[in-house]
Amino acid sequence: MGDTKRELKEKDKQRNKDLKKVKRFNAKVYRRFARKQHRRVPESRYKTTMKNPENVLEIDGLHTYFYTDIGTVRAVDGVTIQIPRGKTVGVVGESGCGKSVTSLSILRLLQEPQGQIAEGELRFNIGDGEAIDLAKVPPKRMNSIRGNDITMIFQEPMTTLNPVLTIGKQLDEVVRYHNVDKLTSRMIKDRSIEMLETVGIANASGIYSMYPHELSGGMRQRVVIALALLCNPKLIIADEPTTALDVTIQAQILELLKALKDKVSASIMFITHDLGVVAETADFVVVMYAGRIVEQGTVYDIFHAPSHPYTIGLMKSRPSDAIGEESLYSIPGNVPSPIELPDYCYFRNRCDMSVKACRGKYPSMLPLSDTHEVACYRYIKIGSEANG
Amino acid sequence: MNDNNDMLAGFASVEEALEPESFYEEEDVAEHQLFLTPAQMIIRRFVRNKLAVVGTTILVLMALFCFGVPLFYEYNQTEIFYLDKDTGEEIRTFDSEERMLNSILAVMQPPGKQHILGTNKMGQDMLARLMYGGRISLMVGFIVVIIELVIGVILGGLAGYYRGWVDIVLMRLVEIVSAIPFMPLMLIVSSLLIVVKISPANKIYYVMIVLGLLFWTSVARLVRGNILSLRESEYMQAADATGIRPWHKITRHLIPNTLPNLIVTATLDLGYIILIESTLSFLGVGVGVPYASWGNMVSEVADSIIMRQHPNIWISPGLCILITVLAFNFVGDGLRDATDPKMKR
Amino acid sequence: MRQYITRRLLISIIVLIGVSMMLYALSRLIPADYVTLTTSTQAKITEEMKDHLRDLYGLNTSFLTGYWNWFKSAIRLDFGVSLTYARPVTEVIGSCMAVTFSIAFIALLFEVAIGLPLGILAARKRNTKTDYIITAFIFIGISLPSFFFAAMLKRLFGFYGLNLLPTSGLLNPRILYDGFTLEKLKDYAQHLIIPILVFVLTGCGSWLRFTRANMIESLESDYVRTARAKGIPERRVVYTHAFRNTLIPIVTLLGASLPSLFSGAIITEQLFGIPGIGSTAFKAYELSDVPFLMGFNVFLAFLTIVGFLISDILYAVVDPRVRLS
Repeated sequence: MGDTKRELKEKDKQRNKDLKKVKRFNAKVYRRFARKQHRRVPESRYKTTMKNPENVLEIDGLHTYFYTDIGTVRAVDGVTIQIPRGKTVGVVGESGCGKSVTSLSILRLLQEPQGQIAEGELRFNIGDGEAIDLAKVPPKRMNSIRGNDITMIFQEPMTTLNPVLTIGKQLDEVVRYHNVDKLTSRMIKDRSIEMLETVGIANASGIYSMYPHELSGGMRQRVVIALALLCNPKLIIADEPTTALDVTIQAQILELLKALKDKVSASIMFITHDLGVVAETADFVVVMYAGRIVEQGTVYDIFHAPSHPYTIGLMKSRPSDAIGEESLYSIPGNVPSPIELPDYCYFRNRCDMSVKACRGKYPSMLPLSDTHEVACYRYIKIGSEANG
Repeated sequence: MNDNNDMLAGFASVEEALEPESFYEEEDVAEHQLFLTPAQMIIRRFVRNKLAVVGTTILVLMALFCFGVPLFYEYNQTEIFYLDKDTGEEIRTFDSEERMLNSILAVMQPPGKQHILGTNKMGQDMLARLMYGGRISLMVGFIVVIIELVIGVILGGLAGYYRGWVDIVLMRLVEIVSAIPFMPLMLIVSSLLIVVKISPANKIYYVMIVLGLLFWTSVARLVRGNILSLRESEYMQAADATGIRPWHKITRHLIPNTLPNLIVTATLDLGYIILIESTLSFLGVGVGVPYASWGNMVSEVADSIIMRQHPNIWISPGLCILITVLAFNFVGDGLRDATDPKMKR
Repeated sequence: MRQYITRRLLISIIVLIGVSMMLYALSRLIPADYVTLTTSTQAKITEEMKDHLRDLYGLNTSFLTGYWNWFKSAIRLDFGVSLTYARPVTEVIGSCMAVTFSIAFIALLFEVAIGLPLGILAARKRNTKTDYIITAFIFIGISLPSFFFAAMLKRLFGFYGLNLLPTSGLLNPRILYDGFTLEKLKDYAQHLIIPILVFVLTGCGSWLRFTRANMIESLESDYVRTARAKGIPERRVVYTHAFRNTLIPIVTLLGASLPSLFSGAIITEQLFGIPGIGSTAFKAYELSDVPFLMGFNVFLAFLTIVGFLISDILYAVVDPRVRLS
C-alpha cells in the first residue's frame, strides 16, 4: 500500500514538473504568435493561387492547436478539404472531433492566445484565379472578409444574438461596415428588412425593431441566417444550425437554407453530427475523427459505400436504421485524449474490423475512386492496385 | 514508390497484412492518468496559484504572531512603563493610577533594544499591542463571519426551500437590512452603548453582534440563489424523478454545490470585516482604550507630533491591516479561481 | 415598464418602513431619563426643546404608538433638536449636506471614469502585464484602509516638504474672498485634491474588479463571437456589443455606491477637517448626540433606498428584457 502511495506521489511530482515545462513552452509559443500578428505583412506574403479555380476554399493540411496549461491539444491535425463553388460540403463527426475548430480556423476566430493555426494553408478564392491564404492574412484584411465574403451561422440561436441590441441594429451594422455599394442608412434599413422577408419572416418591419428575447428560437435562427446572407457571401459556414431547434423547425430551417443557397449561389460548409441532415443537404461529405479526416467523398459514396469502420459505425448507429431492432448500435470505447494522441490509427482500439497492418503508423488517405478517399489499412489492396 | 509501400512495411504480403487482429483491450487509461476527487482538484489548482500561496503564508504567520508569540513575549498590551529619573532604570506596572515617585512615563520611545517597536504615548510597548491588536482583529473577523454564515444559511435556505410567501418576506427582510447604512448605524450603536454604560472591554462583543446582524444578507442571497438554480437544474429534476430523500438531496447535491461559494464568500468577507473593524476602532466605535486594536492604534495619528516624528506608532499597525486584508483577498480570489475553473483562462 | 417601476416603488416604501422601524427600535434602548441627563449641562437647550424630544421618542408609551408618533414627525422632517448644536436636526443636516454631496459626486465621477475604462482594458488584455498591473491596483484598492491611506497622504503632503497641496479645511483661511471668483474655485479644488484622491483610490478597486469580471464574461459570450464573425471593427465589438451587456450589472453598483460614499465621508472629512455631514456626525457621536445620529441615519437610509430605486430604474433602461416584460 505504502509503496503505491509513494509511487503516486512520485508520479504527481513528475506531473507537476511536466506542467511547469508546458507553461514555459506555451509562454514561448504565445510570444511567437503575438510577434507574427504584429508584424506588417506585405500582400505578396499571403497571395497564392488556387489549385482548382472552381473551388471557393481549399483547406490544405490545416493544423490547429490549443496550447493549454495541461499540454498541446491537437484539435485539428492535418485536414484537407476542398469546397467547390455553389456546392454544399457536409462535415460530420462526433463532438470534439475538430469540425467546429476547423470552421473557427477559417474565420480566424479561435480563442487566443491558446488557439493557433500552427500549420497549413487556407486558400480563399478572390476571383481571377487569385487567392489569399486566410492563415496569413493580417487582421484588418481578415475583418473585411468576415461577415462579407465568408459568413457563419452558429449553433445556439438563443445566445448568438446580442440581448440588448435590436434585431435591426444587429443586421444594419453588417452592411454598414462592409459597405461596398455605399448605401445610405435608409437603404441599409430597407435591405435588412428585405433580407428578413427573404428568410421567411412575416412581419419583417415589426421584427426589425424588436429585441431577440421577443422572438422564438426558430425565428432567431432565421435572423441569424439573414445576418449571414446580407452581404452576398461566397461561403457560408453553418455550424450545427439546426441542432438546438425543435424537429419541425429543424426541417423548415433546412428547407430555407437549401432554397437560399441556390438563390444566392454561395457554397456552404455544413457542420453537423447528424447524418440525416447531411444526406438531405450536402453534395460532398467529409467524415472527421479526433482531428483528422477518416473518409471523404460524394454523398453517394459515403451513404452507399461507407468504407472506414468509423463511418460504417456511424451509419449503423443512426436511429432511422434501427426501427424494429432491439437496440441502437453504439461504437464501443472512447476517443483518445487529444493531448496524447498515439502514432497509430486513432480508431484502432474501438475498431471491430482491425487487421494486422493496423500495428503500423497512422494510415494515409487511400483513393477508392476519383471522388472517394479513406484513411484505413483495410483498403491497402485496392490502393496498391490502383497505384501499381 | 509511394505511401502505400510504406504502409505495408514489415509484412510479406498484402494478404498477411489484412489478417484480422483485435486491439480492443490495449488501452488502459488509468495507467498513466491520475484520478482526483473534486476537492483534491481544488487544492491542486489553489496551490498552483502563487498569490494564493503567498496569502496563506501571510495569514499563517500573522496568526502565529498574534496568538503564538505573546505566550513567549515578556510584555503585555496594558502594561505601562516608567523610567527612573536618576538611574534610568525601567519600572513596569499595570496600574495607570499609580504615581511613581521620582520617575517619568516612558512615552514615545524610539524603537530600541528594550522595546523593539518603541512605546506609545501612554508608555505601553508597541510590539505587544500590535500582537494583541491583531488578536482582536482576527477574532472579530472570524466571529462576525460565523454569525453571518449561521443567519445567512438558515434564512437563505428557508427562502430557497419553501419559496412562496416565506421567500417574499425573507427577501424583503434582506432588502431592509441591506438598506441600513452601517457606518452611521455603528455610530448610533456606539453612542447608545456609552449612554447605557457598557464598559469598553465588552463593547467589542456588541459591535461583533451588530456587524453579524448586518452582514448576513449577501450569504442569504447566495444560498437562496444556489438552491433555486439547483432546483431548476436538469440533473436535480432527474434526481427528483428517481424519488431521492430530502436529506440525501441536501447532503449529496446542495452542500457540495454551495459550500465552495460559501467558503469563497466567507474568506473575502473576513478581509472586509477586518477592514471595517479597524475603521470602527479608528473612529473609537469599536475596541476602546486601554485595549489595543490595529484601528485604534492608527488613530493616535491624530496627534500631529506622533504623525510627524513617531511613524513607528501608527505606520506599523496600518501596515498590519493592509497586509492581513490583502492576504485574505489573495486567498479568497485564489479559492474562487480554484473552485470555478470556468473563470480561469 | 410602468408596472415594474410601480412594483419597485412599492417595495421601496415597504423597505423604508422596515428600516425606520428598526432604527426606532434602537432608539428605544435609550434610558428614560436620557434627555434630562444629557441636557443638564447644555444651557442653550430650552425646556420646550426637551419636552419635544421626550415626546418624539415616546419613551413612556408603547412601541407601536411611539413608532407611529415618531414616524409622523419624521415624515414632516422633524427629528427633534440636536443636543450638540442646539438646533433642529434637519437644519444641521441641511446646512452641511452640500459640501459632502459635491465631494461624493466628484469622487464617484472619478471612480467611474477611471474604473470602467481600465476594467475594460484589463478584461481585453487578460493575463498580460497590463492586466496584472491593474489587478494589483484592484487588490490594493480593496485592501487599503482609507483612514491609513489618508493619514499617510496627510503626513506626506503636510510635513515632508511636499507643501504643494493643503491637507486641511476647504479654503485658505488667510484669504478673504469677495463673492464667488475663479480664485476661490481654485482654492476649493486644491483643498479637495487629497480627500478625493483617498476616495478614488480606495473606491476604484471594486469598480475595476466588477467591470473586469463582467467584461471577461461578456467577451467570452456567444453574441460577441457572432459580432466578431460579422467582421465589424474590434472597437465596436468591445464597446457596443460586450460593454452594453456589462453595463447592466454596473448600473446596479452605481445606485448602491452613493450611500457608501457618505459613510466614507465620516473618516475623510474628520481627518481633513472638512465641514461636511461626516465630520458633523462624528462630532455628534463624540458627544453621544442620539437625536442627531438618528436623523442622520434616517437620512442615509432614505438615500440608500433612493439609490436602490434609481439603479432598479436604470436597470430597466439598459436591459430590454426587463423593460419589455
